[in-house]
Amino acid sequence: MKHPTVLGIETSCDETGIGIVAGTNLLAHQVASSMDEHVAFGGVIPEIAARAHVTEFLPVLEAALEEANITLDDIDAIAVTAGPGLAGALMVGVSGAKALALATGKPLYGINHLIAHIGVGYLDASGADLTRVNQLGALLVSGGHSEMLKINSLTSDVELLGGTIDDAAGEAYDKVARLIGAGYPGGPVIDKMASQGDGRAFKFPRGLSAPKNMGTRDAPGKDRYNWSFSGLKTAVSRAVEQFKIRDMEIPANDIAASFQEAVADVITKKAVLAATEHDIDHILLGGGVAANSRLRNLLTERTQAAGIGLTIPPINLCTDNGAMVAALGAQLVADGIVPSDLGFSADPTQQVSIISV
Amino acid sequence: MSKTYLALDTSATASAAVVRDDDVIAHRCTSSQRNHSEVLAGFITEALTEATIDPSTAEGLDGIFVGVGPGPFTGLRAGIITAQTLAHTWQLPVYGVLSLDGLAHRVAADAFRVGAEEFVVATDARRKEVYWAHYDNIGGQPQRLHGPFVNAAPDVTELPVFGAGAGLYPQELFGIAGFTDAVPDASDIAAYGTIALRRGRGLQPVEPQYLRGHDAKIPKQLRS
Repeated sequence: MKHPTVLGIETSCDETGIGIVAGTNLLAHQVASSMDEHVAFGGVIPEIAARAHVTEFLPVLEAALEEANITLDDIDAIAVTAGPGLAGALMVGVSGAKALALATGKPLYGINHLIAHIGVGYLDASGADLTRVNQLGALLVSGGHSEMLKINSLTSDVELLGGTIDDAAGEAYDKVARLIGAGYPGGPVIDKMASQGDGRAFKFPRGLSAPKNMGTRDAPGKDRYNWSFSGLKTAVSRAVEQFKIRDMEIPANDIAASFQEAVADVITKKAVLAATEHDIDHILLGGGVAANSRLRNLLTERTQAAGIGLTIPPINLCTDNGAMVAALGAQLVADGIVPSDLGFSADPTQQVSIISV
Repeated sequence: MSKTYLALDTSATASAAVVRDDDVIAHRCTSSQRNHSEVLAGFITEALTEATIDPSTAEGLDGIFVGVGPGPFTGLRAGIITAQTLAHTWQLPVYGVLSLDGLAHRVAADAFRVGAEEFVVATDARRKEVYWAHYDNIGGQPQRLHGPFVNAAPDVTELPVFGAGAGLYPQELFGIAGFTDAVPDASDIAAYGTIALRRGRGLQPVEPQYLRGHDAKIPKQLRS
């Protein structure tokens, strides 16, 4: 089947997303977020997210079918995020998707959330022209993930080049936002404060960038393409403390700008390095942190300098959504991949090598 | 006129049953408390097929009953989202049954036999607590007087206790022999549900009975 109509379901974190695609054509893109309920806590509370998915699942499904102006009969297959993500949240989507597959008799694909962030790049709406790309890479940066991937085949062979060994980049943003009393989610508030601050005011560490971590191209250190944001977070915390101890006003804008500079610098430097050393000629950016102005600018600058193409999809396709799940599902169907057995489990720590279960 | 229903319960273990009038004609269950979202769809497919109902059309099915708990959250949600989605897709009515009511219905006749005019049904709530409710026994028919609640065992009303909660806390709860490992099952949900539907009372909204909040605390830095 060349242009299958696929319904995609995403519930791995705090977004209940359901999208519908026909081949590479986006037909529906509906998302309900429980973000407002997490604000008071300065981060996503898994149980709140899971409870919201139960309430939102059917209304979002109805809205998606209405937007696409089709019925479930018109769907060729269903895809759902099986992992990675929050266990309780994933299981709502997986159970709902299985019920939908059972009740319609349609095939179901339990797919990998991270690969779906790449799959969205195959939609016409993403603005990417991947037909002329020789070797595609993807940089995923969000509240839950930070990964650099090499895509040999979207539906059968994706290689993890590097990732975070502790916090995700977006998580570091949330934690630093809490430290400087900026609010939640950390990404947009710090980005805004950073625009009023001096990014060189503080020299915050770029984790895992020492020669022993990096090694050389021929003898790479094990963390050559990996990130660590916990030391950066600690450095910010110490800086904040220094001002508090002296009872001085915290230069929040400068701290925000310097923190953001450190994150964007180390992410883009290592991503472009990994791309260069693996003959990647085009990078697709995904995840919520793709909305960050400094990351976008620096990545654009550095990929251009390295002669690497870059696609940044519209931000509502970068953040978690069901359309990306549907987009990957459509590629799986088109490539003749066998659907999942209805007995599959949600896998909170699913590895990138498992594209569909 | 004969009526056929699908019933699900995931408040403790996972189970599915197809009932026609008052008879269970197909039934599947697991003793595991931790794999609901894996096994449930398969159970439903098997039970419907055994009852010669095509799962992709559900022709011959009149509605769905689902146990709404209380029960451990993740498993409970699996059953409820499944029931809601099936009902929505098949365009059938879906009814909630308090899972404790289902178990009370199963044990009430025995409670009557042992002379228990009032009794308690208790299941495992983890975190050293039980989910429970207090029932009046009217000639072998349960009538819920209080609950559902979630408490530590010593705080449960002192009455004969049916259900796995009694087996977990034998020092604190007076368990009835033969029922100290009993958990709600889809066939109980169907039995209670069909009676409740006939009487026009006793059904619940189709939403999880969590009884507990989400337990998240506001971080120190964000407290004003």
